Amino acid sequence: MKNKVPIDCLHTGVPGLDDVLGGGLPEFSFNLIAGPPGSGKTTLAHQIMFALATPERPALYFTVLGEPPLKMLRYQQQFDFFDGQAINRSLRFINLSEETVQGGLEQVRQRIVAEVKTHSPALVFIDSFRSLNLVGNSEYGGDADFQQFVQQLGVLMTSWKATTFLIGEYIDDSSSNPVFTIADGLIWLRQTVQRNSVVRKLEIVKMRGRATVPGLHTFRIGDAGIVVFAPALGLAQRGGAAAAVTETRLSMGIARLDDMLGGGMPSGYSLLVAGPSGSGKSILAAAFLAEGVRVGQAGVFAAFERNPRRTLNGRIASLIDSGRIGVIENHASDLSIDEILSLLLREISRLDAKRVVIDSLSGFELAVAPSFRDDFRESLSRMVSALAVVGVTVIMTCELEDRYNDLRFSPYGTAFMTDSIIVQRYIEVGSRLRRLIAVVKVRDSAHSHELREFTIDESGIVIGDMLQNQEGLLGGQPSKKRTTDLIGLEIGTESA
Amino acid sequence: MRPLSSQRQHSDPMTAVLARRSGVDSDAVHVADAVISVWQDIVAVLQTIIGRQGVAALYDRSVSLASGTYPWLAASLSGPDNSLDLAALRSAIAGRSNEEAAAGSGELLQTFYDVLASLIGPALCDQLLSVVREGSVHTVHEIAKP
Repeated sequence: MKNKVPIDCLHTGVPGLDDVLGGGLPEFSFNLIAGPPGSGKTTLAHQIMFALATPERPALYFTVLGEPPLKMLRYQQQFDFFDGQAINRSLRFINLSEETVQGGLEQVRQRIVAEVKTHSPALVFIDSFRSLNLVGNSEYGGDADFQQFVQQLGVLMTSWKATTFLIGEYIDDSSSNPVFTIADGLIWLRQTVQRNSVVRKLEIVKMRGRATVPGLHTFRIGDAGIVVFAPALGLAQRGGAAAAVTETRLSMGIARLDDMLGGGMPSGYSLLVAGPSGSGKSILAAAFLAEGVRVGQAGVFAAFERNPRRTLNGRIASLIDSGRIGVIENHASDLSIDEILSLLLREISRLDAKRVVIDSLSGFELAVAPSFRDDFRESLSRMVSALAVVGVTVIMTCELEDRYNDLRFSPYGTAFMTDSIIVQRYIEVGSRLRRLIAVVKVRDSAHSHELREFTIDESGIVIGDMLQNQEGLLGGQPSKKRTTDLIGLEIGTESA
Repeated sequence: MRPLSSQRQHSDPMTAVLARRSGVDSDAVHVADAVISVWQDIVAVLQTIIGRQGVAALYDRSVSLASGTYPWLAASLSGPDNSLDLAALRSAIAGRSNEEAAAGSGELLQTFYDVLASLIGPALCDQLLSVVREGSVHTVHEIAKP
């Protein structure tokens, strides 16, 4: 149809929410914010109201029964978005408890009508709508009355061109509540508890006229209010077209390693550095970031180790302190991968970073809330894809238990999802532990297949030569060369 | 919440409002009229936001606290229907000496302000009651007229 009515979008002011709403909230829509107690409904409503309300676009916030308004004001002002100066200028709080208790739905409706006519609000919030539903089901009337009330309210708000939010305490979303049918938008907040972690999730169950992002989206409530973590890949794609993998190679900052990789790391690739504890994975990754800074490429370091700075040399620590390398440091145990990726992408964008290190996947897994661990591998894959889309070159370190009867690169099956793999091993020669490094894979590129010895000194990793006349290195206890097969080597089929 | 004092300072926000509305050296009846006008303004502003019950609860709490120093204020607790009994308050004030009427009224108003500020913070409290305070400026101007 030609000459379709344009539907303007309101930007909610809640980071990430517009993304999952498909761009924002349709103007004049009739919405329900639902969820169990403590799920953040009132906070979400306040955050949207303070973001949108202006003297020219005023808001009315009706409080019904439930949380006393004084308590609401007391707690909501703790958030950064709360602006006391806006009260009675851009927005008004109106308490309806008297009408609810004494007059029931009809008196509530009349008061709302009167206030809407007086103030001509562009935004109307009713908190909590659930208590009105209960009034509707009590001596004042039944379900039919409540349905009629909701319909009248919907008609009234539409004709007054007021974008409306009903905040309701609903636990069960399967009921055929008339509000759910009438509402244009239904935003459902949930929280799940597993072990000691609480994960908050938001779902846009419906939003007429918008192509919303389906599924459950994690969100967090902090001092600034609610932050929604939109799905990883979608966020990255919004940042621009997928970055093409170029022929450019990045230096690793470690002499001879670039040669082993066939001329450096292809730009935009992901690299898994696998090795046992203490083998030097973090040092290798730090060298990669330091080299980036040296050639003018900013980096981001996502630290999930207990004492990340202790594992880094002084040089990289000073680059972090000087702000030339961004750090995402989190030892919480209730993160979602979408949240971590969101933090990463923000930092990458802020610094225009080209290099990213995730140290380590083992720490990362511990930081992820238990409820996400079942999907860890899939989520990790999405994250690697999303980082590839923004064109950064990524190193992930991975703790590898040294087993000498087989060769694994990751307990998460990450080997298949990364473009390249470097493995570090310990071996015993002459009653001493020595370290080996090998490039196992560089996708679509020739690379060295040599097992090289390396040492770690104050300057970092120093790669030496192959151990001559030794064999069975991957078995951990090499011997002087003889005619036997290597043990259990399951590396795959790299052919330069 | 600041400690209650038996001698309120005129620098206290609500005591100052009352002083401006009632004028200097007013008799108890003038003080009673002025304080009722302030309470009517407060009710008008706050009842919309926190409901009649919310205002009555804060008022009763303030009366309870202030009547520790001025026991005669206890007669002005709000009624069972959650409405402030301003007539009872007016009678109580008007029946005291001029000095005691001013001091007790100021104490009650400032206690109310302190209780509210302790719940929602002084900044938001000032913001919500700004109409009451600005109204008092207007009254002062009128009082200053010959």
